Amino acid sequence: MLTAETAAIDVSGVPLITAPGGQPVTLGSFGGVQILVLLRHRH
Amino acid sequence: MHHAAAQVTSGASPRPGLILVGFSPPGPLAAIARHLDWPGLVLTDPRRVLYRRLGIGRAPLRRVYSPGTLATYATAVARGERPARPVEDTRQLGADAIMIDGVVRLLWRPRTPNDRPTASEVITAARAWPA
Repeated sequence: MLTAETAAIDVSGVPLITAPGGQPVTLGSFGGVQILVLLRHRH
Repeated sequence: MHHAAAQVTSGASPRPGLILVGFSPPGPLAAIARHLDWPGLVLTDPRRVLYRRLGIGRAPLRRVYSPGTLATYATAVARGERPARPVEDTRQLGADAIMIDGVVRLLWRPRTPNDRPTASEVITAARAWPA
């Protein structure tokens, strides 16, 4: 069973792009508690 | 994990935000989000900077193309279907995380493609985080 790891990884400056808008954004723009769901590949 | 959306939006406060991250181009990724009825933000990480920052690995080939997966493809071919070629890195794994003010504080890093926490586990952890 997968267990959670505690961490302290600053991702605030990671450059991402809105979908479908295509606008640049950083994760630091989103304050408070955020759940990140990172997808694996699409076919 | 798309069940997470309904659970977050129907539960009591405080409500954590939901951010879906992929590495597909914005258009195809938005289509996936629509298919999942994802109510939160959708962001793409085409260079997989976030994936690397979080140490999210790639699955070994034997995990991606398991006997069950190969059998599914073989059945499709036997029926005359032609499986689509993958358009992305099929070995890239996903992950789930709780981010507080731009810092990831809790992280689930799978070792296999289907090794993910339940939606309720992630949501419960996010809601338990001190405001």
